[in-house]
Amino acid sequence: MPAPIIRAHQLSKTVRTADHSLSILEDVSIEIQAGESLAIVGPSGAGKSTLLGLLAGLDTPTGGQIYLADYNITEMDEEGRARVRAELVGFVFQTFQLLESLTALENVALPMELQGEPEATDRAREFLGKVGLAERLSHYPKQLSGGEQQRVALARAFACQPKILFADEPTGNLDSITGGKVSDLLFELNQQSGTTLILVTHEQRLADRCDRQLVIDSGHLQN
Amino acid sequence: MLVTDLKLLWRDWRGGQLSLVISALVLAVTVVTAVSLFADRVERGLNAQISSFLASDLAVRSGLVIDDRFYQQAEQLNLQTADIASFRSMVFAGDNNHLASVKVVSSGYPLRGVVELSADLNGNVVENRSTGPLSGEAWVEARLFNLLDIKIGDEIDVGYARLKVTRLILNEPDRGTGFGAAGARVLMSWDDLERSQLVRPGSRIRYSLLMQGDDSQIQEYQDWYAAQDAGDDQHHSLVTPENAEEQLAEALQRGRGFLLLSGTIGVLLAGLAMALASQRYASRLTDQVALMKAWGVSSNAVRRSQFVRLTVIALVSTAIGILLGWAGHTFLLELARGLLNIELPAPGLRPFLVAGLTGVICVLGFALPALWHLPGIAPLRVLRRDIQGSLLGEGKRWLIGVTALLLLAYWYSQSFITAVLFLVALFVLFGVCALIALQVLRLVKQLGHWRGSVVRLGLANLWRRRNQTLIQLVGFSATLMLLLVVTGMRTSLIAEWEAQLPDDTPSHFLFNVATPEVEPIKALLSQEGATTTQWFPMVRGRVVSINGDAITPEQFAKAEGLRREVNFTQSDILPDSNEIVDGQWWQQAPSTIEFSLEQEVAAEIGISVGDVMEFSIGGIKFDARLASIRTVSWQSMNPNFYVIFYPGALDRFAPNWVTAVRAKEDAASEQESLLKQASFVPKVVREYPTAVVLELNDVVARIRDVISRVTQGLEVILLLVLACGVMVLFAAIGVSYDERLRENAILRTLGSSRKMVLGALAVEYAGLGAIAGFIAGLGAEVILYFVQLMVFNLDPQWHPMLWLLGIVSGTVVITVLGLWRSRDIISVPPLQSLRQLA
Ligand SMILES: Nc1ncnc2c1ncn2[C@@H]1O[C@H](COP(=O)(O)OP(=O)(O)OP(=O)(O)O)[C@@H](O)[C@H]1O
Ligand SMILES: [Mg+2]
Repeated sequence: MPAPIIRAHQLSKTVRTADHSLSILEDVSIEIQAGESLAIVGPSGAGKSTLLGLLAGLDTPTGGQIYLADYNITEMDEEGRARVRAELVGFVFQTFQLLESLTALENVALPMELQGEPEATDRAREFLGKVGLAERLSHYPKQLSGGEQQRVALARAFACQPKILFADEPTGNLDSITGGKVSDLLFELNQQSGTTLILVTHEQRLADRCDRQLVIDSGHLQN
Repeated sequence: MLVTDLKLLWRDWRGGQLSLVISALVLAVTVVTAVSLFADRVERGLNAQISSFLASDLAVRSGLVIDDRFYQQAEQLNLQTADIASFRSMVFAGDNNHLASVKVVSSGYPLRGVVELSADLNGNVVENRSTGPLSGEAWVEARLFNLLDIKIGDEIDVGYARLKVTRLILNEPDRGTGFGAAGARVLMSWDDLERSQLVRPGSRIRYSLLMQGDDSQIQEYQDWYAAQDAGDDQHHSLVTPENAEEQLAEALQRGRGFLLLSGTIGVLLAGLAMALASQRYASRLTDQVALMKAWGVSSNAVRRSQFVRLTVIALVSTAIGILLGWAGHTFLLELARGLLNIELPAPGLRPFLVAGLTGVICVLGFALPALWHLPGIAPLRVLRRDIQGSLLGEGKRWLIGVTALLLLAYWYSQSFITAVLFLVALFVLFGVCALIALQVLRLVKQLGHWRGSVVRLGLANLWRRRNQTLIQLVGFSATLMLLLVVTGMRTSLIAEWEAQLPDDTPSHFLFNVATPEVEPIKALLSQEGATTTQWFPMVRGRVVSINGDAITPEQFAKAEGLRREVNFTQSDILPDSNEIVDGQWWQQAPSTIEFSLEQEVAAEIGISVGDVMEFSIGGIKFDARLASIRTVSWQSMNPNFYVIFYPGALDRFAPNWVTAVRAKEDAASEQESLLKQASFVPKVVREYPTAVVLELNDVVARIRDVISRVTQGLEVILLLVLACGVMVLFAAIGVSYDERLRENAILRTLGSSRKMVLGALAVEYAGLGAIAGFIAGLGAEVILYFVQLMVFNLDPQWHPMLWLLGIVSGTVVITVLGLWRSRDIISVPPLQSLRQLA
């Protein structure tokens, strides 16, 4: 069995509010194998997004260690974590987060352009084809439906060929039919690329399609 | 990377997020470029002339024939010399006459430089001469050929001298700088001066003794001059190219500073617009930056990308601004052409440097602070939308912006104090505008209560977003105010001044009349139906001391009117419209020499009734006792004098006479009488060739021309500044844009019609414009009140047209532009705008 691509050891996160400190995550330890797909489920406010952010290196835990591939990102500063994210990580968000002033094609190409990828546009076109939007390359996000926007976001995420893809409620803003189509596409692309997928979701249907599920409640991992 | 940055920039531009930042920057650079290019080229033109300004290395000048000792010293030092006498005189040919600027030169003229001449009227073949015209010859400026209807080879009369016109003057080394001479130039020989009989004791003639030699000789002469007791000699002054240049440089520096500071207002407004627009740009960029950081782009890379983008923005905008500024300055030059009699060399580097620096500092001072926080945005924002970047504190941003302005103002004016004072004055003006605006807004808010719902909605918006409203009001009203002041000066002031002239205002001045000519001319005038005011004898001289104490330069600096040669007269009747305020007008002949002095100069120089003042006329000094102090009504257009002696005092100086004439009113229309010369003029000048007739219409027309060109130039600059004000309007609308989009979408979903949304917006903008126009009108009226009172000595008048102009133009401009800028808010279907903002 290969070494896990993500290892989190006794993670905790507390935030200070005006008068007291609030514990959002406590003593969370996980190991995730490369190529695995994992769903994080739990009630609203349970700390799912917080955990996702920590694992992706977007935020720092108050306690515990996180290893992404061989990097101990808890020991790194923001610049170091940025390098690791650039190397390993991709994202899909509930609110799509497409840039308004960019066309679908430019949105998909942007992260590759930032990494200095010379064939960014060609790859972007290819991936937009894969998500069925070959005809909508020059459309702006405003001109696309929610499902279409999320498909653009999927193309953007997969075109970079990340080792790990973090998805925070990717279907949360979509109706169930559209959501179903988007999640079909997500798993299909994931299958093709062998990416490790960490998915936060409310929907049991979506969670069921993952290899494994983690239930989180009030900041604690449930078994 | 650079390519990616450029791509990103291009996409931002395409998305319309940059247009306002860039337009504001372009405008700021345009204003500054236009103004500084204009100033630079005029300055260079004047400086190029001044190097040969004197037509010699050194000159002694005087209002009298230059004293022998100055010649003797020059001779002793072996300096080359030449003489000039210049004055205004009638010249005539056939039935035509013209009040010319005559320059009489000795054969040695010019000692430096050359006179450029041509023997044919087209000026095709240029001859360079370094000697003056021969006796019996005259060289004249091109326009005199038309004015007198003559050709080369024809004869003209100058005083009693008949001269043959042999050459056309293309250029003189010392033709003077700045405002073009009123009359056409006639250059004639020193040998013909006496024959012309133009030199009389009271004539206004300027004599120059030109000198040339090697540096040590010149220095020796200067040393000798300095060793002379200056107090002993009120009549002569020494002019070197350096001190002539210094004076000019000072004046130019001031002029350039003034123009550039008016540009500063534009920069300030543009800066305000840039800051607001950049803030909006930054909020648009926030998501982009958060995403980039989540993808692993480091803060440093984000900062670098920001710098690259801003640098490109600065470069491109500055380049465009310089191009537009170039166009603007040619326009200004066109307006100034009739005023400035100079050739314009190509500009130097400085204006471009000024423009470039303006661009850079604007970006650093106004755009960058609003964007500064972006690289620090937490990447976690991609998951938690509530995380905001912490914008640089408002206080800090103001501080940076004001510092940037101060730097620019300092650089423009080259004086820290001027820069500070100017900015303080500007902020006070803005502050006052803001205070008035706030009061008016309060009133308007109350007004909204009893109006229809559309009006109420619109006006309520003004109050609700009062911070933005105030910013827009202040920027707009201050600029509009200055524009109204300038327009008011151009359109109303001269007309008002003319309207306040009494009906019997003279039409002509007649001067340089010799004593024996007075009676025959009186007879001739009454024959022609012309009436005159009192005839005054006139001599020129200087004031020397008060009660034995020499008048200090400081006193002269205060009493501007007494500094140079002054016109003295004598009279035993108090002239019309003069009033005694202290002492007594003579009831009988006084026992000593006595005089009466004008009130203002008396106060300025510090003299009271009973004091004794020493005068110097033609080198002869005498004392006189101050018997009375008078007010003088300068706008009466009668001959007015600071100093009036009791008759007898001036008899021995052989005065010449002056009077104001009112020509007989012809039945002809005013237009016609403007074109036609009054019937007495040709007769008087023909028979008495040394008399000078000055047509007041010409003088007024000339003043009007100068004022209208200067104010038009200022209007051009201020219109550019107003465009900067429009940028502020746009930027402020931009700030509340999303909010408005949402509100109006909700209003429409709730069933308001599109018409109502449009109506409310129109009411809001119209209200904004009307208030701005009102404040502008008010401010302009206050400023004009003081201008009328202090500068023009007029009874202040209301200018309802200006108020109307302010309010109407403010309302129209802001409503049209505001609605245009808000077109999306109105036209986008409510559903789409709600979704867009989700
Ligand atoms: N920086 C912070 N400061 C204060 N409270 C925070 C902070 N970060 C998270 N929280 C709180 O911690 C809790 C967990 O937040 P988190 O976003 O992880 O929940 P979630 O499980 O993703 O919920 P949802 O399903 O609604 O997205 C919430 O109550 C949230 O308000
Ligand atoms: Mg969440």
